Amino acid sequence: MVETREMTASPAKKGAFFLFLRRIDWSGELVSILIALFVLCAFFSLTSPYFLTIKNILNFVMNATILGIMAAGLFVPMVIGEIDVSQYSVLALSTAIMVTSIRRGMDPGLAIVIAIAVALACGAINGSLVAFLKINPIITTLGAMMIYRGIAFLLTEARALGVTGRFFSVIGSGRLLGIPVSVYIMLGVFLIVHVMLTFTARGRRVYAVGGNPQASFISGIDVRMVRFWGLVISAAAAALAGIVFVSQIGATVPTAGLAGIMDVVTAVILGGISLAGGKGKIVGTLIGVLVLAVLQNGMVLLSVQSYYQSIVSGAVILLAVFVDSVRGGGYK
Amino acid sequence: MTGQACILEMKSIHKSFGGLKALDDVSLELHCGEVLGLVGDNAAGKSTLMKILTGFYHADSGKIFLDGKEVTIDSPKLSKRLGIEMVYQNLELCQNLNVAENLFLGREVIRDPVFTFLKRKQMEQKSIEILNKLKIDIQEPRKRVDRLSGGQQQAVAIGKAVSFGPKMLILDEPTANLALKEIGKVLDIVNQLKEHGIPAIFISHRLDDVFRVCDRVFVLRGGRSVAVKKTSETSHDEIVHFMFLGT
Repeated sequence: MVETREMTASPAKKGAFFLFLRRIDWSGELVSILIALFVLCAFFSLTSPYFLTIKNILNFVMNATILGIMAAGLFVPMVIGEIDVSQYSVLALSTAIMVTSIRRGMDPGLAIVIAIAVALACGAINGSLVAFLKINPIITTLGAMMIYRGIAFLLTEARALGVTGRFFSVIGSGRLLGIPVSVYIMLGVFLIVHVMLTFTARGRRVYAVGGNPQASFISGIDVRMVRFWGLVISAAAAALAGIVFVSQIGATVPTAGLAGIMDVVTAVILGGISLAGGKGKIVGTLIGVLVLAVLQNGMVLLSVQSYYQSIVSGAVILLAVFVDSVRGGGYK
Repeated sequence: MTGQACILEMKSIHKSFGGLKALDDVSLELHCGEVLGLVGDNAAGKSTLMKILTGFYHADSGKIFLDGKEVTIDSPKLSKRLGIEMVYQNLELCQNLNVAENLFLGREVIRDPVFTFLKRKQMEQKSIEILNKLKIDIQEPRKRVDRLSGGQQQAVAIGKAVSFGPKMLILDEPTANLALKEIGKVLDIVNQLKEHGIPAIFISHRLDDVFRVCDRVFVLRGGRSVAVKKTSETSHDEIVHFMFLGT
């Protein structure tokens, strides 16, 4: 009896495994980004004895959570064929409002709600300009980026303002099963975006509008509203990333992300999204975030001068865009 | 299935763009269950006439009757609501979505209105039913549209239009850019429309195709209707004569 069960269970398990493998889309972009991640990990583990330590891995994954949360949010407008370079500015502005409010005696819970509402308003402004006034998304979000950043500087008087509290310390330095809480938050955001885009009508409409806006319109989809909500979602992700940022740093910093404005876009493009819209998988973006995190961590471990780091980051952006262009998503 | 009752009547349609007369006193009838070929050289006015019917253009004068009732079609949305479906030449499908997702785009079958989780199995099952009804041989509703042949894509586009339960269809050059083998399959689907009693206007430059599927041919030349003939009572040569030389 036992033998029979073993004999039947084994092929079933094998079948399930192969079914799982078959379900994965082994198209070029996902495989190439995975190979890039493995090559980088192999290189840095050979060149630095600290790279493959648990402490270092947790350290760079935790550092990548802010980038990761924003990239998961940015993935949505980028599938639609838009772009948002104002996320770090939305982060700076929403956290500036949150921290200054708390420092003036506001309840932290209420301050957090206000910060999220401000970010949603920023996203709604961006979304309205792009979807209803049909202004180019990159120009819109570049302008918005400068405005939101300027307000953040005004509110904080260009200073880093500290904040403390149990909520922030749990998110910033708390751990669950040895893994930082912020990592769970990041993975949760990726999971929500994945479920929304894969299993809901709204998510499939995001892909439809990115793939063929005209066909979507003729099919009765309100293309403008899909475009509007795309930019609201990326701003909401920036607000969430802002809360994690303040929790990890212990302060709002008006210059947050100034050195790496394009990091989020780079991570999403590295993950295999098409700049033309309609194509891309959220798991690719997660791997893209890890590639950037590994690269930055590895360069620090190898004591690469910051100027070289900037050159490498720029080269990675160009490489990612070049690969996208080769795949057919380039400028037409 | 072909009857004499009119599903659609366009009467004395006039349309000008500046000084250019695109349509001059054009009247067209589509009978129940028939496929009407709409032919003409480039700039004959075929597209303008159909764009008036689908609400993209407004006629300067003239009337449109649907099922005997006068209608004013001032937007593509209204045209759709009135039961006029158009299958466009450049395939209005999302290449990055699968067959079922394309067939149900904009009217997905959902579990709940808040999160809009999809009932995928139901959508896939219904897709197969829609395609089988028109004898379209695509058994994998999960297959991405860009992995289908041109003919299969056209078939999905027609299937999508039919699934809305339209009063009539407009097929804009459905056999353009297709291989010969594929053309045959698309024409079979058009014949299936007749079997299901769905009247259609078939726009084409390929007279062979027109004679294979159409009951009547409507010829436009320079914005004027020059002939309406039963395909059984005319010939290629006569239609070509009307198209290029007029009456």
